[in-house]
Amino acid sequence: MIIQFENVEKTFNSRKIQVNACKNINLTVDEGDIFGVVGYSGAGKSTLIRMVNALERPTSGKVVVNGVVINELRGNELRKARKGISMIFQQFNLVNAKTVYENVAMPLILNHTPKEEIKKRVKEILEFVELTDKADTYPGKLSGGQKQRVGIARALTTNPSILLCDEPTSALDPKTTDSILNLLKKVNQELNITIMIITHQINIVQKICNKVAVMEDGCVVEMGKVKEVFAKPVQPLTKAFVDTVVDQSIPETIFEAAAAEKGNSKIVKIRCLDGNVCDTFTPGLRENFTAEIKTLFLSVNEMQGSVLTIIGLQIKGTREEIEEVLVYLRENYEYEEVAV
Amino acid sequence: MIENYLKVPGSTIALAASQTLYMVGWSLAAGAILGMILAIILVLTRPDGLLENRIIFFIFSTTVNIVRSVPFIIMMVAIMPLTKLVVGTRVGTIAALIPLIVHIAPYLARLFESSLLEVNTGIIEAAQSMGATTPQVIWYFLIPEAKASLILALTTGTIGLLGATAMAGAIGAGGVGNLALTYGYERLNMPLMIVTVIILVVIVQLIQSLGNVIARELRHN
Repeated sequence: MIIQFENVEKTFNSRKIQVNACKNINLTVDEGDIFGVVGYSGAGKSTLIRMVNALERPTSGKVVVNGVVINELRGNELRKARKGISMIFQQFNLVNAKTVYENVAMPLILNHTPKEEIKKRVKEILEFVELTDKADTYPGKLSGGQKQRVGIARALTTNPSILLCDEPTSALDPKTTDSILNLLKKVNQELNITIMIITHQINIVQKICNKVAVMEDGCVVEMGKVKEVFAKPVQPLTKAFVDTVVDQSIPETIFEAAAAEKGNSKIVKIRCLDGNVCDTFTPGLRENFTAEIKTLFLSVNEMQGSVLTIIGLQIKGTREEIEEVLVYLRENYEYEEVAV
Repeated sequence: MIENYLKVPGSTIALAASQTLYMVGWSLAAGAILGMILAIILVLTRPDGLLENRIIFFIFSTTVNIVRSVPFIIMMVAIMPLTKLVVGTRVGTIAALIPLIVHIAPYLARLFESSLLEVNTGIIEAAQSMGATTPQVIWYFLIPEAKASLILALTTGTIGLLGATAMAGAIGAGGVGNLALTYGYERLNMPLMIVTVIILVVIVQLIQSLGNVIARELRHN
């Protein structure tokens, strides 16, 4: 593991009110992860990510980064540790009075790196983010996506082991968002940098993260591999988030029509990660059982190199006939009954 | 011909102009340096500042307020012992420099302070996340980012200072303002008065325009 939160609590005391921004956080980010933290604004995500580079310090608990308890470091030791942890921001936070080149060179200038070396490194890194032609431009003349590329370039100059991303695409349009996400993926794969990203956009998590933590009201309410959390969200908030990117509810008109039908029937929803349910399962099922089986809904989603299939079925027949199908489903698939 | 019309020798006008220039120049230079130091102390030690320190902030902030609340004409006579101690005399152009600096430094400090506070806190956060030391944050992030606004603050300060030099005539410092008062007002020389006013207006316009141009060049938006 490269980042570890152990029983971390953070309380802000303003004049009269006390805000518990983070409550009993325990989480681990492993080397090579792209770890997403998702939640609505005010959930405590910003505070969480700022504790990784000690811009905020926990009220109690430990944040271990690269084997060091970072919240106990002060002065020079802290500054040294921070050089291995870079950060990019929603509002980019570039120095507008300095050119792209000067912005990207800044971390090296702060380290008193020789000029020749800075020149070489900045050229290299600008090539990596595809901004070579903008070296002498001022940030004010750049688009949002280009500014974020400069931010990423600036974050990479010192060869950090961790890149923290604070809502990196929230100020960008969808197309630019995709190009920035692809760049972050490249950073992770080619430079082997661990990424921690906080966002309120779940589709970002779907696109590039391998692990996710869902935060609500200062608590991590659900955490795990993205594939697994998306395939089987447990908490209502997680479900709501996953709902927005993975289509999983039976359309109302179809559902109401099915529910209004006379006779004994049950509606179920099957979730299946990997393996193509619609090919192997439905036709066979229909022949093997006496109950009538109708497909109401089908959604097939790409998920980190796996396929998540969600299928809504209506089973009609006598109580025994229906039970027969349910037993079969229970043995072979993950399913839930939908209340009529 | 002009001398006949204004009823004042050209050399008198030239002397007054050079005295004003001298007073504004030196007190601006010294006042700007002092003001910047004060502004940085105020910005760093204020609540939520990088080196938050309630006591130091309170002392400096209060001192700045106290000095700023004394009108310049009173300040000049009130600090005469200090002036005598520093430059060895209580009157004359050199003697005016001390009260002018004491007057302008806290004024500039407040203007610079608000320029520095305008800098987006995100930029300071970015600097910290890079592991910048406090002097580095000031030198590489705060000041460059506030540069245009600082220039405008300095422009405002310069014009204020020009106004203050007119009063320096009270301790025999001369200058354009004094020329208007003694020759124009006391000798009822209306043409001279009008010409002096026009010259002052033109100078103020020039300073302001220069400040605007430089600030625009520095903004890079």
